[in-house]
Amino acid sequence: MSAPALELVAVSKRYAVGGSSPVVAVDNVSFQVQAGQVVALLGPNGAGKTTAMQLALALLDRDAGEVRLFGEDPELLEVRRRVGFAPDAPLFPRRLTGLEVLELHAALLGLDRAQARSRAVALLDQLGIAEAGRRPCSGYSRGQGQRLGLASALLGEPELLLLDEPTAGLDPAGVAAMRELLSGLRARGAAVLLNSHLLSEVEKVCDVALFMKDGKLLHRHAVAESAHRAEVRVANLEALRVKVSQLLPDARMSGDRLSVAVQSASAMPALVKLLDEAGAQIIEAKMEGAMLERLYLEIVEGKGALAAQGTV
Amino acid sequence: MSDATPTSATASNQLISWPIALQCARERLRSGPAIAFIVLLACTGFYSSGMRSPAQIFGGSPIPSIAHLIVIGLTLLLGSGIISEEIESGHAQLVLLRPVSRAAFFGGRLAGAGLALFAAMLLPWIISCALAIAAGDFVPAYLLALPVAFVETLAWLALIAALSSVLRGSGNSLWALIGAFLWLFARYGLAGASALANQLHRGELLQAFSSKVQLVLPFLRPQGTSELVEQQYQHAAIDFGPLLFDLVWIAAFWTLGAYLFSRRELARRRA
Repeated sequence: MSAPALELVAVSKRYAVGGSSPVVAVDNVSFQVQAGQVVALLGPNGAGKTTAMQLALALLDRDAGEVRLFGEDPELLEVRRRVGFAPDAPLFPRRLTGLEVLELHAALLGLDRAQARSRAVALLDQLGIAEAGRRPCSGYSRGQGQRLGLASALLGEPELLLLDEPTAGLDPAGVAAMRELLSGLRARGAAVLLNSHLLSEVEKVCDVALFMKDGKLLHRHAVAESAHRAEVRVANLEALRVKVSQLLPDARMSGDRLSVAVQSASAMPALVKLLDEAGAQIIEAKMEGAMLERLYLEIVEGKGALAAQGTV
Repeated sequence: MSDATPTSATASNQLISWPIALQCARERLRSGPAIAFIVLLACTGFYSSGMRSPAQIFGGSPIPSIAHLIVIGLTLLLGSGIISEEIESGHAQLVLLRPVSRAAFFGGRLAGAGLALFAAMLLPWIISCALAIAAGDFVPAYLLALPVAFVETLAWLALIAALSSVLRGSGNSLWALIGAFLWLFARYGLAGASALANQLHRGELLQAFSSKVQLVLPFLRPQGTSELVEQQYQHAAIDFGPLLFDLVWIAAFWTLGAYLFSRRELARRRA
């Protein structure tokens, strides 16, 4: 089996803060991102997500632990060729146009002039900044800068892409385009690590969500699994509890809500029919979708149950 | 193979990253004040009919020619924040994520500013040469004027770039300017004060100090190589010493600048 695209093993980082004791930004964090996998780092501001990303790229020195990209030292220049990084709010030389910035980065990756230009033009077009790409970067909005940063990260068709808040500053169309882009990256086997506060988007595109708080990795959640649960609200669920448990042994019940693992959304009619035949008064039936938000609030608010079981 | 697959390797041990150099030259030449300086510099080429020798295109000692002063100003301008701006904006970190070494990044930025300077100096030189050819008094010394003047300018630029590796923003050009004024003060002010003290039969100590300082001072700046053009023009024996000194100066500050940049970048990572 080939090495993971990205692997952090017990990585820690402390920041020296003038005069006071050092702040632990990342504390003994370990995780992997495999080829073809989209992994999200989730957590409140100051959780250590961006620092973890910078440690993964050797943009910061770690105090402890190991970082490997494709099983190699991230400092190796050849490894860097296989990686793309789009930082939060990137800044580019003010007097260069977006196209020139991309041509520079393409040339640094070893593309010849013609390849660099055609690739840069195609990416500007794909990310909806073809017109802005011909203007100097000094006049870019945050969203345009964000898209240019993303275009720069995608230039070398990287096998591993790290995206720091990729949807911050994007309009809804940009967010949708980003979702499409991530799906495309996964389809071609690229590994993606992103951090975002847009949980609904993360839920749609990510395979794994990693919850961080105070520099610690609290919980690893397989998004794909929770996406295949149906939630049914039943008015008389309390009265049917025993019967439902016999029919659906794996079902979870809470109040009037029943949560059932299903293969896909197409299983919903059969489930509704089964419950109806059992005498259930169904109020609402839908695919479960807001799992991440619940998990997030639970972890951020420190309710603890998940943190206790959460080894990654 | 995808059309975006890199086809040529980017060497990890190169001294100059040429994509960075070209980007830097392009970016520097687009600043409004730089364009104004370049236009002024080009105009000085038309003054060449009044020159005593081709050495005066960019030199003109003992009193600096207008072209010389403009080149000094342009050097300060093009070298201003040449490394620090990239570090402070965070673009340097993005670039260093590519397969490019810190030394090649520094070399690329310095070479880029050098290219921009060379392009700016090319204009008055071409105009001077063309006017000399038209007037029928073109001599080989004209050919030497540009490369020789460029070496001295590049030496100043190497110093300014090295300062930019450690100073914030445009502090490098400011400190280079302050350094130049201090040098001038030490060279002429101190000598004058020493002579005055001597006349008043006082200040043996000052005189002794001044004479020692005067020994060292000439080596604390690029030598200025316009004499070489003058010697060629006069068919005199050519002294390559100053040219060699300036080449060593460039190599020394290039190396020092790359080392300081590397240290600053590593310190940022450790912070």
